[in-house]
Amino acid sequence: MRMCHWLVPACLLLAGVVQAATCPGESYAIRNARVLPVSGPALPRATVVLCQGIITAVSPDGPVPDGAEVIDGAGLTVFPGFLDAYSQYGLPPAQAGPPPARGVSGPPLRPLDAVAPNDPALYLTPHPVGNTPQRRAVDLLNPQSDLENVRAKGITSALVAPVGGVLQGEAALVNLRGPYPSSMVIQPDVALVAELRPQRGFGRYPSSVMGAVAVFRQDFLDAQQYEQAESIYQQASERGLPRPAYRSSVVSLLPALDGKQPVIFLAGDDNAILRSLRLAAEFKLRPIIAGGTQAWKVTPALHAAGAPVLVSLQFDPANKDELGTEELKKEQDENAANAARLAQAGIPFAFTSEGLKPKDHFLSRVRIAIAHGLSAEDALKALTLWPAQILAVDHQLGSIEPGKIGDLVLATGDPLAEGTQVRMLFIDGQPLPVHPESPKKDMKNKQKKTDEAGPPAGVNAVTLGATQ
Amino acid sequence: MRTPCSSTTVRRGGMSVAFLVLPILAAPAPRQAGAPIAIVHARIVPVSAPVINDGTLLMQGGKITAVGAGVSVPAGATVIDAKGLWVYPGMFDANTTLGIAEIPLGAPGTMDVDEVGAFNPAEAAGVAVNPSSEIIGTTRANGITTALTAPHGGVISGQGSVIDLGIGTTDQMNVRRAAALWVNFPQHHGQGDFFERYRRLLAGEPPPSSEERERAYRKQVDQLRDYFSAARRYAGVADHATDRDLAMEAMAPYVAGRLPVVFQVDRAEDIRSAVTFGEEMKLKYVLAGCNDAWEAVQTLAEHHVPVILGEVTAMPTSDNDPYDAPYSNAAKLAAAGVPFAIATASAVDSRNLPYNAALAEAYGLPADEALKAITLYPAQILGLQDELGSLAPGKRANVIVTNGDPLDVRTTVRYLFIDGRPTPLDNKGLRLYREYGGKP
Amino acid sequence: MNRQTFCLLVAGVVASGGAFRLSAQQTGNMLIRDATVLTASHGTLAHTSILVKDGKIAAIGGGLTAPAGVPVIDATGKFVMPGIIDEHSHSAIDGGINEGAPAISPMAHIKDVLNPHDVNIYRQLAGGVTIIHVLHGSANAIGGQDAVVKLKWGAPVEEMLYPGAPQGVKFALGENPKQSHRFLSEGGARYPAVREGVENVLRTSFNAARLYEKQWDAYHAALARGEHPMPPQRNLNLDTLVGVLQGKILVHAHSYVSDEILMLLHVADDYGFKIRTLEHGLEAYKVADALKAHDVAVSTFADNWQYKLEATDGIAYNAALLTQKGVRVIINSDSDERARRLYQEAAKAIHYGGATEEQALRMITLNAAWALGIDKTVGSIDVGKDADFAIFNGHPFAPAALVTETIVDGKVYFDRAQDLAQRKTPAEYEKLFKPGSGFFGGDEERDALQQRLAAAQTGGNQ
Repeated sequence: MRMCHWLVPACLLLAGVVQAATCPGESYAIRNARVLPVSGPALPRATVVLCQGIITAVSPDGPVPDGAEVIDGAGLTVFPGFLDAYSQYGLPPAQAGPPPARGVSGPPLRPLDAVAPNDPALYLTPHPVGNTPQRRAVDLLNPQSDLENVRAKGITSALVAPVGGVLQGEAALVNLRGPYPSSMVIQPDVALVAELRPQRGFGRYPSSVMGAVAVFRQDFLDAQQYEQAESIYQQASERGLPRPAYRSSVVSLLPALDGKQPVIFLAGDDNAILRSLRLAAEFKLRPIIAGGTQAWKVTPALHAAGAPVLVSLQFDPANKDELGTEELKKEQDENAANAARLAQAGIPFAFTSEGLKPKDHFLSRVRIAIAHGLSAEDALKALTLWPAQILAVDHQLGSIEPGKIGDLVLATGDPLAEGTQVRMLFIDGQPLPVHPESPKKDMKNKQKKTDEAGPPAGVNAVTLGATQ
Repeated sequence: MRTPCSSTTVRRGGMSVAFLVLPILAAPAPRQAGAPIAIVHARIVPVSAPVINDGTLLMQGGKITAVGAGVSVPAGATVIDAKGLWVYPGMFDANTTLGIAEIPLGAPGTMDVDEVGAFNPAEAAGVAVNPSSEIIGTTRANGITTALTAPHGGVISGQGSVIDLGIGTTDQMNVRRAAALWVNFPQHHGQGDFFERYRRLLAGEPPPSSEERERAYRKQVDQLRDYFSAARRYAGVADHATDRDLAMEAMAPYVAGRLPVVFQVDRAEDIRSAVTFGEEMKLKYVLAGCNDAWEAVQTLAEHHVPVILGEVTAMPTSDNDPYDAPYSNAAKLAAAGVPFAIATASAVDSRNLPYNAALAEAYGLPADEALKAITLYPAQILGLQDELGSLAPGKRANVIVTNGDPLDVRTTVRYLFIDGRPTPLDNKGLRLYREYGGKP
Repeated sequence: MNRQTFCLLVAGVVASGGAFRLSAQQTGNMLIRDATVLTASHGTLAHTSILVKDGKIAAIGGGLTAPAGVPVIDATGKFVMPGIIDEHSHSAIDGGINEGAPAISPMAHIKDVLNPHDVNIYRQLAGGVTIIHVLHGSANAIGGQDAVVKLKWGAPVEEMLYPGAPQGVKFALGENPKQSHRFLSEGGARYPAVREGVENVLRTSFNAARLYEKQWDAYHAALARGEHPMPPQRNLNLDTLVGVLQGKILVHAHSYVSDEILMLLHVADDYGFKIRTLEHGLEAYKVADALKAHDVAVSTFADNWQYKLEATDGIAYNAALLTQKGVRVIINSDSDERARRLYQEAAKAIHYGGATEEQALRMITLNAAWALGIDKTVGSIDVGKDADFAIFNGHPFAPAALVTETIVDGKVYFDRAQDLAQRKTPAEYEKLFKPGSGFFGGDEERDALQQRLAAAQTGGNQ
C-alpha cells in the first residue's frame, strides 16, 4: 500500500478501474446530491455508490446496485470526510506509565536503573525521560472515547499520535468510527513523531531544547550504529562476532532512518521549524512539520527540505500573554494567513486541530484562514486530499473517487460555509447519523435502536434535505 | 586628630593613588569636632553655584563654612593643596539597600531587606545598618557619601533612612532615620507572589486570567487606601494612651504630608495609578524606579511628581521599546521639567552611581543636570537640601576631591570628607589588591 | 559623501520589533573617513581613515580616498574602535541556557538553539558589540558546547555563526554545579553536591573519554587492517570530551575561588588538556602565577562581586592586577544588560588599578578574540582583519560617549540616526505591550523561576 505515493498519479488511475454494477455485500447509493469529489470538478447532481465500504461509482446518473439502500440526497452536498492531520482522538488523555512493550525488550543499551545518584552511567549516558519512539498509537486506541463531537464536524479520520518525550512514538491513521481498535486502523505507524522540547518537571532530562536536540541526535546515532552492526553481523562470513544488542526503542527508528517512514516534527515557531529541518537533514530523514504556526516565515527552507506542513488552526502566538492588543492582533492575522501563504509558496499542507482549544473552533478557524486569503477550494483540499497525500494514504482517502474508502459527509451546504450542518456521515461505507447537539446518552440509545432495527432502514425514510 | 596628609605630601594631579597615604586612617576616627580643614587651589564645583577655578573650601565643626575664590584660611587649619584636583559635594544615592543587604545568596543572615507581612511602616532601615559592611567601603571609595537605604518587602516595606557612608556607629551614620515611607505600589497584571507562581507552574495550573489579576490589583490598591485612611483617622484622634499602635504612629508624618512617601513603580500604567493615588490621598509623594517614565512624562509633568530614577543601567521593559529607553529617561524628564534624581536601586552597585548618571548624560541629559541628579536633586526630593547636596556654607561637609569629572570612569577620588572628617578610601578590594601584589 | 547620503545608502534597513534589519543591499565596501582610530593592537591613530573592501580592512591611513561608488562614513570628530567582543553571553538562546538535569551535558549544543531574532542582538549592536560568545550555563561541571556569533542581525543562524571559530565547551566549578539541582530535582539531589564531587565528575568523565577514544582508535585500526569490526556506540558526551583531550575544543571554565581554579589546572595537567579561559575567575588574581604558567586567560566582570559567598573576595582590581602579572584579561557581560555598555565596563580597569587605555580596550577586543581562537581575523583594527567596528561620538571611555554606528563585515548593522528617525510616539509603544505580561513567561522565565526558587532554598546562586 505504501507503494502508492501521492506524487505518482498512476496509483489513482489504477484505483479508478474498480467498477461495480452489482455489489456482493452491503451497499448504499446517495442520489440527487451535489457532490464535491475534491479530486475533480463539482457535480451538481450525482449519484455516489458505496459497496462493502468502498466507493465504487461517482457519476451524474450512474446505476444503483441491486439491493442498495438508496438515500435521497436532494438539497444536500456530499464531500469527502475531513482528515484531521494530527490529533489525539481516541487515545487515552494521559499516557503516563511505562510504554507498552513492543517485540523483545533486551537489556538496555543505556542504563535505566542506575543504582546510585553518583553512578557515572547516569551522567555519561543520561536516560531521557518519557522518550519512547517504540510507543505505537495503534496499541493505545480507545474507541470508547467520545468521538461523536469530532465526527459531528465532519471529521471522519485522523492521524493520531502518542504524546510525551522527545521521540514520542508512532502515529497511526484511523477512522473515527470504531467500534474496535482493529476496525479503526487505516494505516499503523504512518510516521514517527518527535518534538524538540524539554520535559516537564525540574531535573528531568532533557530539561532544555538543546538537551532535546541531543536526545534526538543520540537516539539516531544509536540507530545508525545498530543498523551498521546488524548488517556486519548478518554479512559476517566468520562467526564469533558479538550479537548487536537489541532494543525496541532503537529498532523502531530504523524505518525513519532508512527514509521509509516520515518523521513528524511538532514545531510552531520559525526557529523550531528550522531546527527540526536541520536535524532531519543531518540524518537524511523525511520531515513533516506539525503545528507550524509560523511556517509562512520559512517557506524557502520548507521548500528546500521538501517538508509538508500540518498547519495548526491555533493562530495565537506562543507569547500571546506578552503582547499588547495591537501586536497580538497583528500576529494572529499573520498566523491566520499562514495557510494562504503556504499555498502561495507551493508548500504542501493540511489542517490539523493540533494546539487548538477548544477543538470546537475547528471549522470556524478554517473560515478565518479563508478570510485571510486561502481559497475555499484549497481549504477543502487541506482537510481532505492534501492530508491524505502528505500521509501517503491518498489511494485510500481524501477524495470521492471509485476505489477509495467510503468516508463521506452529507451536509446542508458548502462544506465550510457558516451554518452548514452535517446531516449524515459514512465511515468505511457505513452510515452514521449525526446529532451534534445530542447528549451522549441519547446518541447511544438511537444508535442501539437503529442497530436493532436491522440495516439502516430508517435512513432513507428520513428526508435529509436542507428543507427539513 | 590626624589628617590624611599635610599639604606637602599631596601629589598633584597625575595618577597618585589614594591608598598610599590614606591607610593610616584605617582605624575609625571618632566623630568629634576637630581643627578646620581647608582645601585650597582647587577647581570647585559647588553644584548650586558656578564653578570656582582656583578656590578654597573651608570645613569646620562638620559643616562647610566657606566656599570661594578669596576665602582666607584660618590659623591652625589643616591645609590640603588640591592644585590640579577637583572638589565636588559627595554623591547621594537615593535608592539603595546599603548596610542592610550584604550577600544576597548564600548568606541570608546578612539580608535585612524583605520583611514578612504586607504593611510594616514602623520598621526603619536605619536601625539595622551594618557599619562594617564591605560594600559601604567600596561605595565610599567612589565618592558616594550619602544614601537612602530602605527595606523593599511587602507593600508598605517600612521606612527608608538617609545615612552617610562614614566611619562610625550606626547612630552616627543615620542622618535622618525616618526619611521616607517605602511603598511597593501594586502592579496592574502584576506577576504576583513568586511562590504562588511556582506552585501553579509545578501543578500545571493555568495562570490567573487577566480579569482575576485585575481584581487582585484593585483589591491591593483598596487595601493600601484603607491603610492610609486608617492612619489618617488614627492621627486625627488626639489621645492614644490606651490603644497605642506603633504602625499607625509611624504613618503619621506621611499621611500628614510632612515626609515623602515613595512609590516604587516601573510600568507607565502603574506610574499613572500611583500618581492618581498620591493625589487622591493628598500625600507628599515621590516615585522610584520608573523604568517607563518616558511613557508617562506628561502625567509626571502635570503633577510635578519627583522621580528617583534608576537604575539607569537597565533593560527596556518591552522588546518593542527603544533600545535606549532607560538611558534616555532622565533627559526626557529634565526636558519636561519633572524633578528627578538618579539612583542605583542597589547596594553592591551603588558605587556605580556616577556611571549611571554618565549613561544618562550620554543619552541626552546635560552634564550639569547629570551631576545634580546624584547630588543636589536627591537632597531636594528627600527634603534635605538645607543639609546636603551641594557645597554651600552651613551644609554638612560631605566633600570629595577627585582628579577629574567624577562621572568619568577613569577618574578616581583622592580625598573624601564626611561631616567634615577625612574618611579613608581604603576598602576590601583595595586591601586584597595590595595583599596580592598590585602595583600602587 | 555627507551623512544624509550615507543614510540613503543604508535605507534598506526596515523597522522590525522596534529595531532595524538590514537588507543585503550593502556591499561590504566603505571608507570611514578622518576618525580617531583606537586600533587595540598598535595604539591610537588621529585623523585616520579606514578603507574596507569585501568586508575586510583593506587600508588604514591618513590620506585614503574612496574608490568610485564606495560609500563614505564621515567620522570627523568620532572615535572608531574594533567591534566589541562579548566573551561571555547567554543571549539569543531558545529554550533554556542550561541542560542541567544530568551532571554533565557536553552533548548539548548552543548552535542547535540559537534564536537569530533575539532583540538583544540589536540592543548589543547598539552598544558596539559585533561578536558574542554564546555559552551554555553553569549548572553542570561540564556543560554544553558554545557558539561564536557575529551579530548580523536579521541573517539566518548559519550566516551568524563565525566561520573558523574553534568549538568551545563550558565547564563550571563551585556553587552553581553543586547547588543548581540540589533540592528541586525529581528523585532527589543531583550529583555532585560538593566541590570535591565536581572534581570527581571531571576526572571520571575524562577517564571515560580516554577509554572511549581508545575504543575508537582500535576500531579505526581494525578498519585500516581490512577487517570488519563492530562499530563502537557513539556517545555525544564523550565525543566532546575526546575533542577536548585532542585540543580541538577549547575549555571555558566558570570558576570563582582560587582553590577550585588550582584543582582544575591539576585535572587538566593530569589528563593533558588545556584550559583556554576561566570565566568569571573572581579570585584569579590570587593564583595569577599559575594561570600565567598555564597560559590561561581570565574572562571576568569589571566590578561585580558579593552577590554570593564565592564572590565575596571578588575585587574590581582583578583585571588590572592580572594584567600586571601578565595574564590575558577579558571583561565580559554575562548579561543582556551589561553587554550593552561593555566599553564603560572595560574602562573600570583604568579606574581600579590603573590599567592603560589600550590594555582596557584589549579586554573587550583583542584578548576576547584570543580567548575564542579568532584573534587572527578580528579583535583589532589591522589590515586584513574583518571590518567590524564600533563608532562613537567621543572617546568610548568618556562619560558622554555613545555608539553612533556599528559595522559588521563592512556593513552598517546599527545606525543611531536611523533608529531615532524611525521611533514611534510613547503612546504607540505602550499599545504594543501588555504591562505585567506573562504570568509564567516562556521557558526562560520558567528556568529563572526554578533557579530562583532553588537559590532561595539553598541560599545558592544563579
